[in-house]
Amino acid sequence: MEDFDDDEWAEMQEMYINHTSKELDKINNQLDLDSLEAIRIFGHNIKGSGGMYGFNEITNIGLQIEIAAKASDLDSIKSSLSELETFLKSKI
Amino acid sequence: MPSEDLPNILAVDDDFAVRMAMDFMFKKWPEYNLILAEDAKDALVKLEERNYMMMFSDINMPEISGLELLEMVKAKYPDLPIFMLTSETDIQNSITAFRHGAMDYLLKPPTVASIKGAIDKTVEYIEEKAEKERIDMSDFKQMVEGFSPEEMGLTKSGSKNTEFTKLVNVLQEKLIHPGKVGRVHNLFLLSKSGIVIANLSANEVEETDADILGGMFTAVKNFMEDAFSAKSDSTLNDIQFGNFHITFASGAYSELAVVYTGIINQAAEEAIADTLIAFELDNMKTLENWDGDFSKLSTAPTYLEKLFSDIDKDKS
Repeated sequence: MEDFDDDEWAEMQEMYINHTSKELDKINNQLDLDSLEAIRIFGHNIKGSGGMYGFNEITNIGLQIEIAAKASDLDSIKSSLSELETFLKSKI
Repeated sequence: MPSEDLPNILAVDDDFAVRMAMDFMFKKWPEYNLILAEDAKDALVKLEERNYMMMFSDINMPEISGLELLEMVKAKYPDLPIFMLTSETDIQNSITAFRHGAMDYLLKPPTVASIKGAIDKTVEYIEEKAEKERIDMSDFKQMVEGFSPEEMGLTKSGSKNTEFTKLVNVLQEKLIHPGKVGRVHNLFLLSKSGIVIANLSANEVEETDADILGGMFTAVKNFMEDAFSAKSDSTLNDIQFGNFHITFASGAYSELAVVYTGIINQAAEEAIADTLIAFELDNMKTLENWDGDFSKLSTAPTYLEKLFSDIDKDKS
């Protein structure tokens, strides 16, 4: 997003971090095998959008979540979500 | 608040992050009005609310996918340029999108450059389309208004010239419905001076085209009466243009031109003549001194509708 000035870019990143944090809370509140599709979509979405806001780390975590959700691997999902939470908190 | 005067662009994505990025991007282009939709259902509602210059849509969306939305939108708004947003792994979907009428696809995440490129491409497409329509229309008008049987080479059998071929090609495109073989395509009810009183077409002939055609039909009919009527054993005058025919029934005040492909049988010929007689008898007083006021002949389309259903039998 090299076309945005610093203020715009900071505002966008802040909004994105806040939004993703809220989405993560929702996912963490219903972390079970019945929610695998919602978890997969969440992973897919942040995989696509993380890099867009300059957070390649989020893109990588999103990919891990998507793969783990497809494999119904709740342990890996929890681990990736925890990694994401740590990252998001470091940016607030 | 979005301005009603600016070109509207619809962007559909279930991911808030993408919608937010688009929203930021469009702050750079105040000449466009961005409307955001969070899923296909939302998009369909918003499409009803205003006219759009173009649409962006994500492919991977829950419930109704972007490809399903594309099909629905193209069915209802066939001219709307649509760009699909897709991830690199969705190339097969992108091919499907092209087949369903998408103008192009953009890889996700969208960037300022890719979105602006799509907008510019759309603007160019719209301008080219408008220019082409303007040229087509002016060529067509010139061709039809300049119609002269002599100049077209119609007076000497077998010597029809290239101007005639060009005219036939244009008429073919405007008048003939490609899905109707061997059937009636258009009915034109004309005043003696060539004004179109009513017309009924399978091919959605535009009103401006119909008015121009009215004058040409009259010129064709007058020419045919001079050239052929003495040796014709039909009650109608019939002339072939390429793959289609125009046949005319002449009344005291009006003409009925029927454009068809294939052949027309005796019963259909009689129905055409009878329709014109019935129309003139029912509207005799108006037609005697008709001043061009269409409201006085408002029942005219019903005669054409009845005739169309009577003679438009599938001959295949």
